[in-house]
Amino acid sequence: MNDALYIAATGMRASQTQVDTIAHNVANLNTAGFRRNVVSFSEVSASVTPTGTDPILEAVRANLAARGAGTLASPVLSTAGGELKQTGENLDIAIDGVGFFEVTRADGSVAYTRAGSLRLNEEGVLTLADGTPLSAQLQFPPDTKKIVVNSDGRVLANVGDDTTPIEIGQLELVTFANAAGLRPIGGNLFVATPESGEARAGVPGEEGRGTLRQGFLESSNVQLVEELVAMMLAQRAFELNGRVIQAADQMMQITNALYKA
Amino acid sequence: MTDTMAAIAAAMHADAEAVRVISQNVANSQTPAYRREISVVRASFAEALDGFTTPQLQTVTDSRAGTLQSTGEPLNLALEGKGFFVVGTANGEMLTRRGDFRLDAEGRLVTRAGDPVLGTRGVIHVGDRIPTITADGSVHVGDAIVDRLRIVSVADESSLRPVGEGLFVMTGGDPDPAAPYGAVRQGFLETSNVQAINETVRLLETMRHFEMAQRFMRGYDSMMEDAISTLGRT
Repeated sequence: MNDALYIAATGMRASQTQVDTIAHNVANLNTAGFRRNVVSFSEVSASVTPTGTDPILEAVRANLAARGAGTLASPVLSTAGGELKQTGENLDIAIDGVGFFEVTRADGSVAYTRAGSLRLNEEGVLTLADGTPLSAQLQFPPDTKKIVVNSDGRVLANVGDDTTPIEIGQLELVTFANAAGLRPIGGNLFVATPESGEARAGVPGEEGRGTLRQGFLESSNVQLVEELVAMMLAQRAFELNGRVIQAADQMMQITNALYKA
Repeated sequence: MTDTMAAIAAAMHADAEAVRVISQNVANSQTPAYRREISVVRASFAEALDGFTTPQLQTVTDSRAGTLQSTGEPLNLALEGKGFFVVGTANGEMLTRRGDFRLDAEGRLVTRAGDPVLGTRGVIHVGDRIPTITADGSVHVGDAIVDRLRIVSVADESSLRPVGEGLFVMTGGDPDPAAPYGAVRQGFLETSNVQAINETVRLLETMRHFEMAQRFMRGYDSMMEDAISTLGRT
């Protein structure tokens, strides 16, 4: 009976995690380059008593296997790309495919982002909207008229009255074996973890890296309908688990009433 | 304890266990490819002949597949129809239908828990690109076919024992390589086969049975009380 209580409690906690995650996703519906989290449920089993050479198989044969012990919900970063939206802004650069821009933060550490809403700072260096410079450190002369970013990452600029564009530099993209393992640190930035694997940099368009699209922004990959459906499910699952807790409680009450004083 | 008391107590125990099973199902109503457990009360034949039966609770796994849900995640795979993916765990090869896979830091296709998903040539190395997986299980990266997912069919699914996290161990016989299996669907996940209505009905049923058993025990108790006080009067 107590087992049922605790198991149902894990179910309620999982639903809570799901609602928290949905709230975070929906709040970022309009954040460019945002990657939603998906809640991954996993059943938990009480550990089996290992005997013999193959502990699990032995335990299964001895019919001790896997007494259910509830569920565990953990948010997982979605790897699906968002839609590319045309903005017409010259310095909005979206990544069509997998890949991230590398930026150097104020403390010297690197982080990765897909939010390509770029601008030039006072020194003419290409930065993110919040002023964090791209690691490529592309600097434009003060009298730059027009900036062109090719799909393969070559950056050209028309300077002064010169009609032939000059090459400023090359934007690179980095990829990860497991992009879902990146850790979000806020501000649309991610950092590498042992889970994600090491960042591998290269020219856009090669080896399956995405290409660059100037004048576009990647919208967040949150789908409102999906989130709403998930929210309804979470709410009902919460209720259902609550009922089981009530039932388990009622059973204890009935048991206590066995003894007539 | 008298036989009657023992039988009723065992029935109440079985009910408590049944509620635990329902609770586990309900808690996992959103776990991908979760197979619900059903508790079955069985009385042993020998005991039935003796006139008294002590209910024994067994759980069986409901092997009906859940429905396929579109997730849009490229590494979510679902099996349409029969069959299982093969996973290489620390405790040997196990089977699963839970296809929310990912790539690990070395670019291998692994399960959520990090165990490699096996292809016909062993561990599948994808690299850092998103693979395309066709209905027959072939894993395409760019223009090349890296490997083919190993999918096995089990003739008797009741011989599978769940060991948690969506994994099953075969307890009898080998998988039948010739047996047909369904198609692999990329971007889909199999949902849990738990239905709220079934579990609620089972819960109500069990609760009432538990209540009834309690009344029986109290009734039997007052009979005993009467017997003691009446027969004991001299």
